[in-house]
Amino acid sequence: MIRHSKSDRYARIEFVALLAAFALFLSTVEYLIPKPVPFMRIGLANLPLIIGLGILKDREYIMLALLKVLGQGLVTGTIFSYIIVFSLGGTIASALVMYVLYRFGKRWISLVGVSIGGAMASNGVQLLLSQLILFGDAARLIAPPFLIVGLITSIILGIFAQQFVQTSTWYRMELEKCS
Amino acid sequence: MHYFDKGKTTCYHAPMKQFKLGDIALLVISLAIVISSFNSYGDFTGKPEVRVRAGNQEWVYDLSVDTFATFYGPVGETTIEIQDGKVHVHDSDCRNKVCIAAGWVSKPGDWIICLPNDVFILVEGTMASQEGGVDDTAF
Repeated sequence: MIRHSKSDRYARIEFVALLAAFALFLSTVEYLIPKPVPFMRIGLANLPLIIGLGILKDREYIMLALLKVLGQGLVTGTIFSYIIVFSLGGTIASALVMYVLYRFGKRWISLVGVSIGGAMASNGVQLLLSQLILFGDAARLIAPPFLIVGLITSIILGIFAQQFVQTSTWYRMELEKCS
Repeated sequence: MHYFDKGKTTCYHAPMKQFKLGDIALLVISLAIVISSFNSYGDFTGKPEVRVRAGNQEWVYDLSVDTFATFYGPVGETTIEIQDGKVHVHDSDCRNKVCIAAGWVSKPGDWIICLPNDVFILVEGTMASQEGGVDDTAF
């Protein structure tokens, strides 16, 4: 594998594209899994965003988040429907919270905590949006199952991401590149 | 971006240990949010209201406020009484007095109907009265 210097913009773009493709694939897997409510998500596609925290620059991270929304919209066919608002709102909120938690709380928080924070932010924003757009006050009734599923899946995803970051040689090599 | 390492020129930082203190704090906060979200179910049965329909008109009464109310229908007057969180038909001009015989009702979903005088009395939870039957189907 060729080592790119940090000035090599194309290598970086390729790298973001790789993670975005990963998110696209995971969106497909997520879409395959049957769910009782369509917008109840496992959040598999957030894995690249969690893993990317340590190895992406700020701009690249934003780009990855937007690409993830785009990919999800393409896979689920909701890109031109109101559902994309939920996807966009949730992803931006979780990306922002995960970024802040990782950047400023890395010493006290592992990727498990980062994942939990991101899921809660995403679910919170989506519940708020569903209250504004879809259900009104009844949105409070879907809150408990929605939040519980998000919490459990985010813990599992966080543990996976943490394990991956600790053991992957690929990740270590990327870290060395981004100095 | 990261200068976490000691002496090395790369940005590689020592593997983070799993489950740090902040994780547990975040988990506890999240759990608290999840548990508090269950309070929304309390509202469903917590503050019942009485919805009365007579003819084409509807009235809503708070079940916790004692009151009398009279409604006018095809055969005359029907008077309901709300007392101690319960409601019953106090008097009605209908022939069979089935509505009066129905006695007191208090739980959301309970109802009394006086068919001859076209008066329908239904006890509802707060949420159900706002959303009608929509939230059931949305689930």
